Amino acid sequence: MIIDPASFPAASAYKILIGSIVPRPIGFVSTISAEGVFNLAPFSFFNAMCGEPPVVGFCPGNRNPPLDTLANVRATGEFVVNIATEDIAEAMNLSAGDYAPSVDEFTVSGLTPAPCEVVRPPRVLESPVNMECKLLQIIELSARPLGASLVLGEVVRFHLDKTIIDDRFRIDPDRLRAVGRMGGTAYCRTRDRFEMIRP
Amino acid sequence: MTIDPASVPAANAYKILIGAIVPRPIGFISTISDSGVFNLAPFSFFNGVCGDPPVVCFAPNARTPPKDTLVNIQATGEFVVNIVSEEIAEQMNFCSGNYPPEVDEFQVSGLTPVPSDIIRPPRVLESHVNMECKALQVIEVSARPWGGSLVLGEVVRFHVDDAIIDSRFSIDPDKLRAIGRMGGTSYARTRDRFDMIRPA
Repeated sequence: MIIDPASFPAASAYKILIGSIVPRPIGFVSTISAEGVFNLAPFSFFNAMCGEPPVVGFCPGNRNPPLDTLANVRATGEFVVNIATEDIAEAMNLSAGDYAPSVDEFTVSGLTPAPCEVVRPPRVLESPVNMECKLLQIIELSARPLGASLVLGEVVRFHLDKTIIDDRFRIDPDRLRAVGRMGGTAYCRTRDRFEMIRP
Repeated sequence: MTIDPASVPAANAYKILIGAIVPRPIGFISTISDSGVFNLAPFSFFNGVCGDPPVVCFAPNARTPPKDTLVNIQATGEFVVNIVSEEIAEQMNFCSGNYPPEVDEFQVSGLTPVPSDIIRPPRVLESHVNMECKALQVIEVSARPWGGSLVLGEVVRFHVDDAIIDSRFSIDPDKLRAIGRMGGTSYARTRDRFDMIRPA
């Protein structure tokens, strides 16, 4: 099947993207509004983008008005990436609804906001990895309804649960138990793995 | 444990990124050089970034000289994203070695190049999904040794194996059998799944 995305409804191309670009890591992003309201929302158009300096990127989809996360990052220049694990998957899902800007998804989800070291948004205490980020750039990719912006941020602090990492900075995937996003309503675990050595 | 990346070797921050941001999808990228040599290489700093138009991005590491994939895209403005399933995992791994520019990784890996519809780089026949892409923008994020660039490309054609997709454009993950990248030398399968409905 050959599909020219320009000749199909945008939702079809989007479904192919999210069904085939899998498994996607989840950036569970906490922010704070100009008024001081906390926000927490998951994004799966998310990944690391650079090693040195460490840079991550995520893509809030277009909304009118804009998603709280994007509005907050624009207003404050700061966000925290929290890694989503099996233990907090349900809480993360609760935070994924469309809530008004006045709603604090920490309260909705029951997750615990903990202070950061160098940015104002809180980090998720229950997440074994938090990355405090300062905004580098927002690239508006498209203004169409299924369009999005790309938010790039530099990691200025890592918080790591010391039970998941060794003294050579290797993270144990069986202790992290990260979850990834698949198409539709599906998620995947990261327990079923294999090794390949680069030639 | 709190780590200021500015105060540790760059390799350590990199290890934390690749160990924590998991599972990462793999963009298996085919390109063609100015002189017509095919190239094929996997990237795990890769994802969709926009639905309409469909846009993908990936991040080749900084190298001296630059990676063939990046050189080719800067020369031609075109690339193909091929999705990696369990069946072609080993062939993909062969393509992740450091080969000189004149080496065609299709030959190294035994994968089959087939013509794309509207761009010059070939697609991987054995992949269930290919995305023909035109480069929109190349952003140099950092020139440091562990730095890299960000390549954004618009998908102008999808090729999807009829056996893995239904008439509503839903892809069956048990037929796709995509693999993802973990930290170190590790990869994840996508068979172990669960569902969660987003709250209204």
